[in-house]
Amino acid sequence: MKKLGPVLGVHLSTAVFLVLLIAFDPFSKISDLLDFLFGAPPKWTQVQDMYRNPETQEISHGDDPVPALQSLAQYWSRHPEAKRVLFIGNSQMYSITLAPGEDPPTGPEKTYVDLVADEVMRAPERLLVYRFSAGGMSYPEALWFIQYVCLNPSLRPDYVFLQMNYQFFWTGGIRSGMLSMLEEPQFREQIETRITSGEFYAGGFKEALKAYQDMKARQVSAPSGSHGGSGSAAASPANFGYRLETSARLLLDSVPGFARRAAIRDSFTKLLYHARLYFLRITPSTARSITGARLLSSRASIEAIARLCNGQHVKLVLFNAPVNPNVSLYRTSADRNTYHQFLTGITEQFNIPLYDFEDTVPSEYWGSLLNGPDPLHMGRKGHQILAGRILDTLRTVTATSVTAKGS
Amino acid sequence: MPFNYYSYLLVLVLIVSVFWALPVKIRRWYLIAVSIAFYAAWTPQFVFVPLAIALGVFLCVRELLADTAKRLWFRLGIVFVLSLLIFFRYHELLAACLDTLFEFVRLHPGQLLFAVGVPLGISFYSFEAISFLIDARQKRIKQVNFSDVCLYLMFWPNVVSGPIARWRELVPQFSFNRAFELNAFISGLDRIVLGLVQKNLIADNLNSWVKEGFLPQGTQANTTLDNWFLGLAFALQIYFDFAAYSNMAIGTAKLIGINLPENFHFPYHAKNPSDFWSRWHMTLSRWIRDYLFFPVNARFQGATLPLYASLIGVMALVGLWHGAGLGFVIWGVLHGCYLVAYRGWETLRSARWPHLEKSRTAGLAWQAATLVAVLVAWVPFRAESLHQAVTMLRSMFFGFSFRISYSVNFYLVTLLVAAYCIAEPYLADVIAKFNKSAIRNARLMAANLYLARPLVYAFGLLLFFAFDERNIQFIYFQF
Repeated sequence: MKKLGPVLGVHLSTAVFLVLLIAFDPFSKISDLLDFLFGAPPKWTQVQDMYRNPETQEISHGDDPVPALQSLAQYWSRHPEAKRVLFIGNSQMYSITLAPGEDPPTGPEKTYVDLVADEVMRAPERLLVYRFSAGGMSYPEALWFIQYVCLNPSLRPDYVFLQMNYQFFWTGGIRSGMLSMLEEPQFREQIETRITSGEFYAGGFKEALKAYQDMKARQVSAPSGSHGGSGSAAASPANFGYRLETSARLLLDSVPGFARRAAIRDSFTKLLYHARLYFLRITPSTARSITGARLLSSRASIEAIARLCNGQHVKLVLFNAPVNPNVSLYRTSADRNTYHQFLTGITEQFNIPLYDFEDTVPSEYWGSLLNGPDPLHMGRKGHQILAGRILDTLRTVTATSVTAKGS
Repeated sequence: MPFNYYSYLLVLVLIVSVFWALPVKIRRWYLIAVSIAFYAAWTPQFVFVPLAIALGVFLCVRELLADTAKRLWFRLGIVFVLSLLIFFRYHELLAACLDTLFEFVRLHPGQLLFAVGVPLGISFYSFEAISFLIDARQKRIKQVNFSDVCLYLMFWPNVVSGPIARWRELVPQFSFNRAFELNAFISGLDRIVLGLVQKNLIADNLNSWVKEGFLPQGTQANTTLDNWFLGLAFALQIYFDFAAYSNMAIGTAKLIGINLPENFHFPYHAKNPSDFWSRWHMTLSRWIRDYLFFPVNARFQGATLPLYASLIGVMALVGLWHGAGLGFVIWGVLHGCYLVAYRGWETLRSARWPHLEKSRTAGLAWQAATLVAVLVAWVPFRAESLHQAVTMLRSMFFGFSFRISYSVNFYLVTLLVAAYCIAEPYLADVIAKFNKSAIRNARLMAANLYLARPLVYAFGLLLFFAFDERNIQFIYFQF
């Protein structure tokens, strides 16, 4: 019993320190310190208070799109006469990094898609704009999403404006938030068909389907070993251990502060990211090549999107996103050529219009990201300029489309 | 329950508290009950497998001890354990063979076999059972009782993924008459927290990159640099994943005053292929050495060619132990070849260039070559198919291309983990020195016990909770 004191002492001290660390979030404090030391722009330049409207935006940014799409289906069904325009892209569509000289925000800020949505609502020919955007979105994710909305007549758009961006090609995979879309049996079937296609995105889809199956197994307390194969003992049903774990998690989740672990993870990841930027000087704008599996998977996904839209009589429009003129994302001129040749190639192959807005927004309308120019996120004025260009395009595209249908 | 489950950590507190509160006499039965419950919590339908093996080997050894001339009991025991191991571990291969065999009459008897699962940890406790039989045959065991055998094979910290303990290093500790030792207890906590961080923060974070990089569709598009990094990332992932499990197993046992054998000793710091196997999965490699390689080699009385052939053959079996996959066998054969190459070099060096024994350059060259060779061998081990492994290896050695195909974070995180892996032994050294000096100074000891350690534990637990991915199993659970 004499030893009980020290053992309890160690456990108690650990618990106290853990609570303090969770409350204090040391990683975020170190990040802030680094920002201060390296002279990062004020935090308010990364606008936090963004305009939100579930009728025109998928507000979870890919973390939970199914409920958002259910309410969208209801909203769109109430306006059967209106044409539906779906914008798909990455965080450029929902973020604003204020440029030098731009005032701090005084209320919710709108991005170019929000501005376009406002404008078209006022137009006599009814257009309904909806934005699906997610940070670091991949083209397989775009294909996944379009496949889903094309299934349901109340979600099927008339136009899809798909953002093209060089950085978009660096990403891959399907985020876990989008797995719940597989609840829809018909969609799951189509994904299974795509998996058997042997296309470059098929591997990512297969992994996503497997992750979904694991998730489902977990929900019924029957785990599936990720490495266990078909006969894994860990995949056994009626697994008491798994049920116990589920209960333990529910219990811990009810402890105040424990739910902050996701935020702690984000701040740890952010700290590593800031360290990468400040110490290694590898920034989002550091020029690099696109090659390998992710390039092939992105290409195959865009081609599949084009075929899918053709088959569903959905007008696909590609637009090359603006890039900060102060940075060059291409490592070599060959990279730029490869990218542009791909865009040209795909537009010719599938007869898709392509609008190039790469140099649309002048350099003074871009903000800074920590210690360098932000390559992707524009300031307030940048969004206004782009909104104007997109509106012009939208008018052209919809008018062309109407004429084509009329003829 | 995997050791990184929240429920396991909560239940562990209860198990350990009750253990120390119980009278010594009852502790053995208590641990047997806990071990059976632990196994059943995972796979209740297979709990009879380790129990049956325990009973089978107990009966055989009892007869064997009564009369060591009764070789039949020894053989019977080995055949019994091996049959169960082969049936459960390789039933999918057997099923495929059966289906092929009966294809001409359009029968598929193998389909029935496919439905059979794999009892968790069967490869591990089967090897313990075999070593128990051999030790009894070699008169290293004097007496035996069923509760000892049962606890030896089903001891919950190491039943699922080792370390593979020997009878003589584990069973003598089952008297449970050791008093509670604070230092051992603290050292157990150290190992558990270290394991939690290694698993959740390091191994699981590498997992998503490795999984994407090894997708069959993308392999042909990977560049030379991608493939080297993927090999490195998987090498680090499997090491930290398995070391994490071993640390938690050893730590758990320490909490109740039991010492399990070590399984890893900074394997990527190995000086040569032979040294690698004295650092990697140490309990398996010593099992293979003592119970397979030495007896086989003794038959050939050290003749060179049979020695080399047996080295490759034994390592191929080590590969096969991981599962009925060609990739595992190739991995084993490659390691066999590395060992042969090193032995060949050593023979040649001692005959012709004895002065090179202490050469720093030759040592460094072997260390670098070993690391590269180990990375190369991990490729077929992890690849989904032989074709994929060949594609990746071809790209690693021919047709160089140094562009990067994945997010720059993949390369940076892999390098960061590699840097930690390099620093690991030095950090361990610093911590050991600090602990030693803390013991001598009462104030420092108190500060260490109530401030420094809890702070480190809390920090480790914070990272463990933050990076928790319930769905990622330990890699070695499949073996």
